[in-house]
Amino acid sequence: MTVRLDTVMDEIDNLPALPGITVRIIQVMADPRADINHLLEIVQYDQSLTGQVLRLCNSAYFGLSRKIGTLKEALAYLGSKHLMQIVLGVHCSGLLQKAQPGYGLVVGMLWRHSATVALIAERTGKQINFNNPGMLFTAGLLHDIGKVILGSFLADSYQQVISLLSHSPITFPAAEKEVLGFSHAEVGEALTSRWHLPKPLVAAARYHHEPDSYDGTDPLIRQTIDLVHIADSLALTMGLGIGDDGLMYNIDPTLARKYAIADRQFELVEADVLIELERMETIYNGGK
Amino acid sequence: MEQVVDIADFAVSNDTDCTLVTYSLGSCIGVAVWDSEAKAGGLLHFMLPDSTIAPDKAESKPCMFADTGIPLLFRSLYKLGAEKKRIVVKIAGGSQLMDAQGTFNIGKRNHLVLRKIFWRNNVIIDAEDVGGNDGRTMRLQIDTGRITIKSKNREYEL
Repeated sequence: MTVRLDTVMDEIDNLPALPGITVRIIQVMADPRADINHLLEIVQYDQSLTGQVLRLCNSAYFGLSRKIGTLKEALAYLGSKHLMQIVLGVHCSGLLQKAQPGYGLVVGMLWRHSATVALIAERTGKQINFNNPGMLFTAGLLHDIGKVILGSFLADSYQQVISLLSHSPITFPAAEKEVLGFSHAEVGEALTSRWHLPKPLVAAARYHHEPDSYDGTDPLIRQTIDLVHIADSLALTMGLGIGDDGLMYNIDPTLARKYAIADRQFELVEADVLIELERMETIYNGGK
Repeated sequence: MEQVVDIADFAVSNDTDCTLVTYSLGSCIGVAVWDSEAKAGGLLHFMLPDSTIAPDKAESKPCMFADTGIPLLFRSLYKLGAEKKRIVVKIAGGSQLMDAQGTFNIGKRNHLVLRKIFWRNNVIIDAEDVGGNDGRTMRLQIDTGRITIKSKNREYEL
C-alpha cells in the first residue's frame, strides 16, 4: 500500500491545529535573544494555560512554601527554564500522550520518548556550548511529531511493516517508506512547516534519522539536526518509549567524535537524564 | 495481576497470582530470578553497567546499575525464603542500534559486566535472549516461574 502524501496532508488538516499561542511560544523559545518576559506576555492572555501553569507550580512536587498567584511570581520561584518547560509541556503533551498502535506504543510512550530526546539534546547542547539549548529542547520534543499522523496509517498496514522488519535487515523508517511511501520524518517535516515552526525544528523533524542527507550550510540547523540525532539514538538505546520499532534505526557513528563526546560521557548522560525525566513526568502527570 | 517494573527499578514477589513485567528493554537488561520451593521471584531492569560513574545516583537509584542492582535483587529474594542454589536466572535485553561500528555499545557492556558479576558469585545463567536490534518485554509468572519475552509481534518462552 502506498499512501499519497496529499492523503496524509488531509490527515494533518484534520488534526486539531497547534494553537497559535503554542506556535508563538515555540518561536520565542527558539530565539536565543528572546527574553522570558516576552513569553510571559504571551501566556498571560491565555487564561486556561495560565491556570495550568500556576496549578503545576503550586503542586506538591515543587514544595514551595507559599502559594504562587501570578506568572511573574512563578518565574521568580522556578526560573525561566522550568517555566518554559512547563508551558511547552502543557501544550504539546496532549498530542504526544496518545497511544500509537501503528508503532506498538501504548499511551504515554511517545511522550516519554520525546521528553527524553528533549532532555538529552538540551544537555548535550550545553556540553558543547551550543548557544540556544532551549531550542534543542523543543526540537527534541517535536522530532517524532510525524508519528502522531502516520500512526493511524501504519495501524492498517502494521503486519506488513512488522513482517518486513522480521525478514530483512532494514531500518524502521525504511520499512515505513517501503510500505507507505514515506517515513514519519517526512510527515514531521510537512507538519512542522505547516505550523510555521522555526527552520531548525523543521529540519530536525525531517533529518533526525539521516543527518548526512541535510545538504544546507546553516550551522545552527546542522548542529540542531546532529544533536537531535545523537539524542534520539541515545534515547532509543535506553529503550525509553520504544515500541515495536525497537532499535531498528541507523546511527551516524561519526557524530560523537565530531562533537568530542566520549562513550563514558553518554553513560553519565543516561543516568542524569533518567532522573530529570522522572521529574518531568511528575510535573506533567498532574503535578502529583 | 500484573506488576510493572519500570526502568532502573526492581520488584520481588511471592504472590502466586502475580506476574512481574518490564517493558521497553533496549540496551538495558532484564534479570528474572525465581525459586521453585519458595514460590518467589524477582525482576530487575537495570540500565548501565557500572555505578562508579555516578555514586550519588547509585545511592538513590541502585537499580540503575548492574553492580548495585543485582545484589539488591538477590538479597530481596532471599528475604522471601529463596536459596541461592535453587534460584533460576534468566536474562533478556542488551540490544543496540543498527551500526556495525557499535556506537553506544552500552548493551554489550551491560551484558559483559553482568556475566562478570555472576561468574564471580558462582551464579549460572539458565537462559538468555540478548543482543540484536529488538526491543523486548519480559514477563515472569510467580506461580510457575514461566518467563516469556515479547518482541515485535512474537511472544516466546525463555
